[in-house]
Amino acid sequence: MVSSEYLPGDLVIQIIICLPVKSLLRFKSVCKSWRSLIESSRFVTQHCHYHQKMDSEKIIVKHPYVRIDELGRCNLDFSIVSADNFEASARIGVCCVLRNMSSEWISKAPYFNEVLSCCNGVICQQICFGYERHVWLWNPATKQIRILPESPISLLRRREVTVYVGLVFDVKTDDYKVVKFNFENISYVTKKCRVEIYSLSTDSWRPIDVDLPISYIASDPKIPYRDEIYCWLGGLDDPCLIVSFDIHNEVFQTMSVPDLGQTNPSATLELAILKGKIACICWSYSWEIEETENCGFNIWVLNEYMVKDSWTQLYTIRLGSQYCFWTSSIGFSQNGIFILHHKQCVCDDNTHKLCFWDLATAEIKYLPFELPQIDLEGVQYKESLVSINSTNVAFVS
Amino acid sequence: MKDSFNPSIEPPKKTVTLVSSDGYDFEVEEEVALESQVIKDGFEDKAVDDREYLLFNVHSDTLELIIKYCEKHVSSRKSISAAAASSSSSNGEEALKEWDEHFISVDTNTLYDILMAADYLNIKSLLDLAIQKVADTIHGRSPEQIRKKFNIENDSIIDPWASE
Repeated sequence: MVSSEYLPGDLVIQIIICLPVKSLLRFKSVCKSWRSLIESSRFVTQHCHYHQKMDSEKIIVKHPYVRIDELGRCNLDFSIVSADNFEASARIGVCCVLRNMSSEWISKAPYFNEVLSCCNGVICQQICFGYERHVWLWNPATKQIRILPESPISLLRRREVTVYVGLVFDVKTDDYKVVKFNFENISYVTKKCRVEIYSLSTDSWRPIDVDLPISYIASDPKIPYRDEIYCWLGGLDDPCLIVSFDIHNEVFQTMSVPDLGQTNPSATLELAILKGKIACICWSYSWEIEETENCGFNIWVLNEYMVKDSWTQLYTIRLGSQYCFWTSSIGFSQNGIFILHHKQCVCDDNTHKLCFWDLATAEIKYLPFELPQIDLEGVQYKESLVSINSTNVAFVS
Repeated sequence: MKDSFNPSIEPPKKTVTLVSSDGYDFEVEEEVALESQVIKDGFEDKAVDDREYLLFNVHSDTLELIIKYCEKHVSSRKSISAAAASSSSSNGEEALKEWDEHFISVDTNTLYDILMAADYLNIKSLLDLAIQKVADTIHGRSPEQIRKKFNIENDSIIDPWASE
């Protein structure tokens, strides 16, 4: 009989890769070699890959309200929802100190607060107070927060720009990068698009020289298409274009959206990732009661990356009149559940719910609790050890 | 399908002999032995009348369990693919998962023996099962318990968990 002390090192590594982040944070203090193993980027990547494959799927949902406490700290709440049984498994609070913040903001509501994207368990988020714009990264599992420095373009022209970003992992340099579009008003009709990249390894922004034929971003999937590639749905007035960016080679590509033919003129398009492929969600609605039965979603999938002839319409979802006016898409879960935000209006009593539409069986399920929110946002999330390497630690309730 | 090893009932099949570290012979069907990637890799090089493997690192108690696992997996695979061929519904995969869970619910020493043997014989599915089981048993432990379990000396200067 052998006993545990003879377990060879490679087996011990395989065992600890299976452990959740919470255990590994605790096991860093087992000994120096465990600490350096758990902190090594190779281990972090292997752990991330293992859990992306094996863990049950979760959606992180942002609660809309931001509280500024008496110390001028910014408090936000999130729920983590299981996409297997649609139950809320945890509620996380995060608290951080932002630049130029003080208690005088207590009474002022934030103008804007959104989850921008999520990659390997790291969330990129934006919050705006007046013209003060903060983009931060945080890892809910390790409780690390990093507030990104203000970019040169935002500093110069902060009043004129509108900003969209995406967070991507650059495998080849083992670095997390944020791509940022700054749309600057040249006149009432013309906008100039300038792109900057933030690199976590240098903690700085750098402009890149690119001329993109878009003047706004309509939608983005909030997750990268894959390592190194992020996509947005952008437009120059109309029609829309898909813009993809390869973070390592710093190359943009554009491609047209599916040919929708004679659809409802009020149809809107959104971009998502469905089972590893780029998908376009076409949402048609109508304000005419007799036409409400035609309301719903058409879901198109791009079978081959950036090959526009490979657009295929895979699903047509007719929601019925009760869903018609106040339903918006949030995206897909990793195994293909369509997630919707549904607002029910009964007289003046509004309730907001997350609903989960199984594309395979057309079954619909609701998250068991109601959410008092108007701009409900969620994104696919799996916990990871990825370090954003900052001393700024979130307070978690 | 028979569940345990009993070669006298069935018509003669090609067999190989596995010899445990403490000198016991186990005669098993070829396809059962081939669940081990190590045996499979060496299989073609061996003469047909010399299909005997000396497993210096596997005790007879452990080898018996390993053979039981491999036999179950070979027979389950057959019945799952038979069910798929006749397109009759089967919960074979679920049942096998349950069987695995029951199989691996053993005391710590036996679990480590299975883990080491699965690693030595390179039986991927059993190795994954044992690794996950060990991970499940340690994830809630304190660093001190982990040090004891893996016989690790505490060389950390600061141990914030020492008081736990």
